[in-house]
Amino acid sequence: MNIEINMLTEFGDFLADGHVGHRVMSLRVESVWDKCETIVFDFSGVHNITDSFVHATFGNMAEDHGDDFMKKTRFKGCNDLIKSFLSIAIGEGLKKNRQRNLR
Amino acid sequence: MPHSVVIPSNVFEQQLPQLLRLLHAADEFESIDVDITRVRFLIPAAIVTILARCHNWKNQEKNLRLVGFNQCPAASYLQRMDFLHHLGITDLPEITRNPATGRFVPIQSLTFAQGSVEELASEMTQCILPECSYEDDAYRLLQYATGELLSNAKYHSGGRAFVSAQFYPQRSLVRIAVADDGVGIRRKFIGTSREADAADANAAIRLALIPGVSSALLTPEGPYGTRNHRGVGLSLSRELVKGSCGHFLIATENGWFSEDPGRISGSHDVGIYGQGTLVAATFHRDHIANYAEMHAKAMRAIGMFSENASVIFLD
Repeated sequence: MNIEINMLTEFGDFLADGHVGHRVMSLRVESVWDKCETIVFDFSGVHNITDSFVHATFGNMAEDHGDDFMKKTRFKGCNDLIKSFLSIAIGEGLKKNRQRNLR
Repeated sequence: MPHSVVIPSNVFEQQLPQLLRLLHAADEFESIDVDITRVRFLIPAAIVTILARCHNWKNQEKNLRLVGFNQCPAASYLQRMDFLHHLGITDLPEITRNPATGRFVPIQSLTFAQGSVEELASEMTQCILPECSYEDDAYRLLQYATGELLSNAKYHSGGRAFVSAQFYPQRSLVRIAVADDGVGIRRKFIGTSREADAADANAAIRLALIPGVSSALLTPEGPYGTRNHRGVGLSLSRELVKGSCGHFLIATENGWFSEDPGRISGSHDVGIYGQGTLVAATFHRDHIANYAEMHAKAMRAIGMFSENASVIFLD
């Protein structure tokens, strides 16, 4: 099963509310995570993002799933700013995942 | 006889402690007159602080009156800011409402259950910087900071938050302020693993500014996880303010944190003892040159730029 999440449709052109982001991702993505081979997040039309949003959604997902997150997820339609936010948040999430696995 | 709170004629950042003390002194009274006869100039932080406190008094069913509106030199400005509307005052027939024009944002309010952070932040940014496109660095930074401050108030205050902003073109300053009538930062840490580290209001402010620390244990949890907050919004907003040589302020209970490159900064007890929380950020627009660089610098400053993941971007 492959799914694609249109971020503009789900959240609008500015993604700021991490609480809402986390809730929607939980329902749309986490609920079917094990059944998915690929999950594409389409950021076309999204102009700006906050750290609260990106960490509460993708940072958490990367922390929870570790390498599996990198295998399954793809991002498209990202401007340079959003690419930078995503890379940092996911990097932090993966770091926490590795630390968690070492314990 | 009602207790009279005489609002000072001019309230800039330096006069905020005085204003907060005046408002707190009225807390013990059942009837309160808020006298704005002398008011000439209030920064957004002052306006939303007064509103948040009045809202709190009204929730306690105190008798609240606004006095001196017709004599107030700033009456027209307060009217356009929707100050009266948020106070619930609608029976002043001599007032003619003017349309909101210019570089200020009429006061908005939001609660946990009401108001979209994204919509409000975007509307405010467009109002302050109408000539900017969404790709401009100043627009992106202000939209980001407003979004983070609103999100913080919405999910951490436990009350109603009032927000306003203004651009002062002559000094190239953008002031954003959010004040709420909620429980305050210290109380939000009660029942969390960090309660002992937030023993007083100043300690709680310092804790809230540490990256990765959040009082969100008390907020509702998502069905597939519990970490719906990361505790980075406030600390990054502070660093971005620093990057523009601006002023960052948090006031809650008797705690006061002020950071301003040109003035005395720090966290200390200024004897305010107010309820709720005020967060105010002032940016120098002329110092906002490259938002991506400013954000990267802010991330490094809070220790969150350790590595970039090899994320797969399809284009």
